[in-house]
Amino acid sequence: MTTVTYRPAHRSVRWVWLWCVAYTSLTPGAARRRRREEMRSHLWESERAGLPAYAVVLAALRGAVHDATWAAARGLPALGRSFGTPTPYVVLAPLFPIEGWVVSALFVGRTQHIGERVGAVGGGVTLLVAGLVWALRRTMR
Amino acid sequence: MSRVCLVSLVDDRRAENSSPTYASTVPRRRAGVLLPLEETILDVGVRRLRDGDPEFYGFAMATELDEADGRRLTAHGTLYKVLERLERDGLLVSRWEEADEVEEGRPRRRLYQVSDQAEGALRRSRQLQTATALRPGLASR
Repeated sequence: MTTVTYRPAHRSVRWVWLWCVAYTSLTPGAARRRRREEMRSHLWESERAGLPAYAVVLAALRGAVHDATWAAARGLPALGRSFGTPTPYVVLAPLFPIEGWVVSALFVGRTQHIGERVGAVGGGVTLLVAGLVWALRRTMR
Repeated sequence: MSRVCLVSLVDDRRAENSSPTYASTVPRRRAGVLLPLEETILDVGVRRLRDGDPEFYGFAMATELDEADGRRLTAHGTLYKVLERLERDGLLVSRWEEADEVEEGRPRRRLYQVSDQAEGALRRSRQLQTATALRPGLASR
């Protein structure tokens, strides 16, 4: 069941919901679903209880730092673990040629900018790493 | 006077003359000592258990905290982070509402209740705080 489609009645409360969707996006599935459902329920109850929208926004703002640290504590280890799989390397690989193209468009000169070199070889190297990670995982299985 | 006594005397003088530091003004987590918000949540939970209505959910707890503690607008991020931590520490247990408990149109709630260990943890935390207040040197150990 997806909860992203929830739409609070008041526009400013919608921003609170969007903030919740944003920071929970960094976290693994179970933690993400749980926090979203709890916040969805909390915002719905707040609206039903007739709390003014500014109070809801203020309560969200006051807890924003804790939201961010919670998301970081849940999300960063998962992100770190994902680099043990080929997926992030495959996702990153196409970005290198784009970066090289942007750099060459910005720096017109006789000497080659280091960014162009990185753009030229970075994608291939990243795909090579993805292949190595895939092979390693296959042999370790 | 032995060397050990002299060192102890110097330490005591330093402690008396020192100005309030970050460590003395910001609540720090010490083994067995609960933070003020954690204590208040467990207090409310224990009271509800005695009243025969042990389960509560995030929004209801936020409302009770606002009323009981003179607090204004308990921050969402802080509340849910603390609830999760108390559950991880075994002081709360939680479950999702069953489908037949949910009213039409209302998002389901995550229901919490204090565990058997909560009352003991609350008592221990208060004892430790009292001991620390009587013997300030304990706080730095």
